[in-house]
Amino acid sequence: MIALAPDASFSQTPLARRLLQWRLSRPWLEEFLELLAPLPRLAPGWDSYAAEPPNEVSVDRARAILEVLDELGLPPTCIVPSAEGGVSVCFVADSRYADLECFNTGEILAGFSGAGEPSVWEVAPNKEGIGLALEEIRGHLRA
Amino acid sequence: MATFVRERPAYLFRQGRPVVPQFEVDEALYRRYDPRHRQGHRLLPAALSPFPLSVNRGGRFSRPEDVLFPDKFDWGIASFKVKDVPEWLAPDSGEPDRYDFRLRHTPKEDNYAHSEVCSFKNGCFDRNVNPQKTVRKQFRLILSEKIVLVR
Repeated sequence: MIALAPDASFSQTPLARRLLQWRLSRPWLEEFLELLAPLPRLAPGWDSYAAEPPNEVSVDRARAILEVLDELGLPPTCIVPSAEGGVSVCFVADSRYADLECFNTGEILAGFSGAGEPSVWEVAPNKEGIGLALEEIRGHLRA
Repeated sequence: MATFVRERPAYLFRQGRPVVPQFEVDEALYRRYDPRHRQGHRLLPAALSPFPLSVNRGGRFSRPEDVLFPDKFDWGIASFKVKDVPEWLAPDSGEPDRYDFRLRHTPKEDNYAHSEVCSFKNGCFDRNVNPQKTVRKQFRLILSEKIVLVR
């Protein structure tokens, strides 16, 4: 193991800040990735009604959302299978709620509630689209 | 090892009783949920399935815990009132369709209280026709704000 002397100037660099953020963010990211992995193995009707289990498509979309969340330093509150067939990445802050719902068809819908009329919109299933939706959600949760 | 089996109470069986189409606005409705879908005092919208949405009507029809039969006694119980169901929603996309939501009493032989929240597209009910995903999601967001967790 190589011991490095503390370098005050390095600790102020963007790279150092990013490395620190990466180190701090890993535990929740790993925890949620572990929660995601087994979801496609849920049985049909896992909700005791008629829900389809999440498939690899919706799990991949949720994984992509987690990667963007990691970059933003914004951990979700929870990740759950959706009775609509897919995965929901959920955020709860006091009376405000938001989620990004990844469907087995590959679509992603964002939604929030808790302040006036609920809002729902389609999200482009790419990094930019997910990032824009998460900024909206972050604004809603902080308002 | 002894297995404990809970018997369904006699009052839950239909026993030839009629459909009661009228619902009171303050009538309580119950639905079981997977414990994963509880977040504090909140039921996550992901717990709500597409239409028709199965529920039990309360009052003289059933008790909250009856939704746990036959084998989900460690699950949660969610409750809302008839008046909490949105009357109608329309897609934001500008399409002319309108979806109304109404309760229907749909008894089963072993569950007289069984009912459904149904969607009616432009006034017509077809259990195979669901509103588009954006409308369903809006419905679930609205209803989950109203839902109270019994346990």
